Amino acid sequence: MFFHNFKYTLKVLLKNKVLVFWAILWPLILGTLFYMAFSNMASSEKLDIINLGIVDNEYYNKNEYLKTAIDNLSNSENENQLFKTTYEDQEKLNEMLNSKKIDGYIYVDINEIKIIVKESNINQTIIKYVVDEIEEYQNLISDLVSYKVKDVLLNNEIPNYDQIINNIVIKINQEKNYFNNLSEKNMDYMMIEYYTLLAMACLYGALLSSEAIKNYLGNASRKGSRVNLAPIKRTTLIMSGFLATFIIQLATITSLLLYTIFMLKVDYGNQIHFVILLSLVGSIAGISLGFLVGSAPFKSDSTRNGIMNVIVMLGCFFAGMMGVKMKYVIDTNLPLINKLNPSNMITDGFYSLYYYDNLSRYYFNLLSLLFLTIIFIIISVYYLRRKKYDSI
Amino acid sequence: MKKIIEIKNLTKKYKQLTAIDNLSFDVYENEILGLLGPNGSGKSTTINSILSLLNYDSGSIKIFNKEMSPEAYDIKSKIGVVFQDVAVFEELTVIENIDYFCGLYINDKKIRKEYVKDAIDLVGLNEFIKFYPKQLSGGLLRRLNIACGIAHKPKVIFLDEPTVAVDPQSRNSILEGIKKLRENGATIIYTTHYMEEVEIICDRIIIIDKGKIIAKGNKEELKKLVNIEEKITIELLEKLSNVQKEKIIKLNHVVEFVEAEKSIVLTYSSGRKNLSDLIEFMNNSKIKYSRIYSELPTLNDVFLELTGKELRD
Ligand SMILES: Nc1ncnc2c1ncn2[C@@H]1O[C@H](COP(=O)(O)OP(=O)(O)OP(=O)(O)O)[C@@H](O)[C@H]1O
Ligand SMILES: [Mg+2]
Repeated sequence: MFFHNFKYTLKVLLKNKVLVFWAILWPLILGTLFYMAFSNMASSEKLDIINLGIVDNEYYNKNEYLKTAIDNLSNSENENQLFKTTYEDQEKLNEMLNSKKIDGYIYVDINEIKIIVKESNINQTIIKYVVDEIEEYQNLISDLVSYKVKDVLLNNEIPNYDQIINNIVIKINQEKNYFNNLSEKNMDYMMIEYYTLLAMACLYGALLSSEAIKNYLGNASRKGSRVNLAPIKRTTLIMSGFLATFIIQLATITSLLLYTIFMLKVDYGNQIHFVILLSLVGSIAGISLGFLVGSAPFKSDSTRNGIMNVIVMLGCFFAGMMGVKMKYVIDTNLPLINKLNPSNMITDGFYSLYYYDNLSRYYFNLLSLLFLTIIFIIISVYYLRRKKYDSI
Repeated sequence: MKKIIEIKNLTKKYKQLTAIDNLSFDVYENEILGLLGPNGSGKSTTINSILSLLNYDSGSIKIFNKEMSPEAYDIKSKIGVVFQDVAVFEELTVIENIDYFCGLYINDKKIRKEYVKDAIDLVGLNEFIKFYPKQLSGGLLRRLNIACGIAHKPKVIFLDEPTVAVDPQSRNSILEGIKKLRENGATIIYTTHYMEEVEIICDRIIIIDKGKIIAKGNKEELKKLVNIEEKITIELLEKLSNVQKEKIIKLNHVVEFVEAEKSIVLTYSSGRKNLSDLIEFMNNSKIKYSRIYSELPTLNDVFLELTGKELRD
């Protein structure tokens, strides 16, 4: 009987397309979508050729250093080409700036070089570096001139564009590092979003187990009434159903872990056994949530599904699935919510494994999850013990 | 006769509504007992209470001489139930559904295979064993529902309106199947609100209304409850004179005379030759008529007589 019910429960669950989609495929799909979104973000940080506008006026054309330097940096034969320059009047450049055809423009007037930008991303920063660098050089030269070494310099050293470019490249590389550092920090947060996926997959085990349990209970479905009339102990039914959902969960979580580690390059830290332990406890938490929702005397299945979705999806949202800011906001302003939120317990557990050397935060999450699971099971047992109903 | 089920003073309330009211009856071995009642009369509630699915307020239920309870596995193993609503798995094929439910009773794989095949033969689903419930017509789905309930060869079978919303062909095949189950030794409790079905297959009938038994017996006994033996309708081609009417009313055994525009309906309390007597009278009196026919009373007449309302709405 145990094996018979186990086998058919497995079959019924795996042939239920809606369940298979949400409980098994959806976490994988969502993971892939995250990956695509993040890799777009990463590639946008690469240095492209910058569209630079120049106000084509008298002062610019008189500023030899600047003009030559920009020309040099805009040379399309130069492998370090930085700029694609457009010479226009200011009005036209403002227009181009507004329509994002250029990243910024340079306006030279009688005593200073102005940089006009609208945003402040890496491109704007680079324009500023270039101009600063050139100005600095220019100042140096003026100083030198005032020390009457003008001739020497004029003849030998100036304008040394290679040096300018070198300096700029060095600056830019520093800048790149800075940005890379920034995005590495971002990566930490991205990990959190991946961890919420695993939390979701664990807890969506509830969809499977609630479906299984409904088929065993006389008041939950007509099939349940029929199964209830068979001479089988309820514990046999429930344990075989638990085994079936647990095995599906194991397969789901294993494939999600492998997929995120090897395909999506998600980092779970070095202590894989703790990762597995948390996944297992998370899965059991999900299954017991399903037992609770499936056995509680709700009027309809849509109520049941609604409750599970709110607990799991809203929970994942609060745990940072759609952006880590949310987790931060909840953790700081409404800490109790995330302390009770099973999605956050799992997410935070993984994050603490990845981020901290110390395991105390991990254990706190693990034990909270176990505690919650036990509560789910106790309430389920209360409902599962009833065999005669006032109304079916 | 051996009592298989013994129900005493069963009462079940849904909040204020008393769905079954102090019901007592027995079911005997190898009979087909019909529970006949209009919609909402409490048939399903009775069955679900007997099966220990529902809490009831008072009364006792014994099956095979033992108190029925959710843990009475020895009793449960000998019972088969076909619910009013179809209860099968959408995700399993016809044969898998039957095998699943049968397997909850029969452990031995070889025996089970045989039983499943027998059930499929009985309901005539041989051509559809690989079909999913969604692909079956309403009638075939009902047959699958039945097969799932009886595949384990139970000694006692409850069938709750198994033919609701089924075309006549499927209905006949279902009724044939039920007769076969009885021939194979099963005791059957059959609920319906179709009196024709009850008349065809039931040995004994219990008529219930508003949760109370209003009559029981075999169909002859029930029909004796009402003062009707026969109804004769005459479709007339001319108007009867008052004298002629008087004479007809005075014919033997006539208890009621109802006149419509172009016909009259006579109700007889008893008698064997009523129709031929009437025809003779009509011919002698030279009354012209187009048709004259006799009907035996139905359970509907019984129900009408006892409750003042029709069995079917
Ligand atoms: N779950 C329930 N809650 C409240 N009232 C109910 C419930 N189930 C049935 N009833 C009421 O109890 C009475 C008996 O219902 P029951 O379903 O037993 O009738 P039935 O004879 O099987 O009718 P049908 O021929 O329509 O199946 C009806 O008045 C019905 O409205
Ligand atoms: Mg009913």
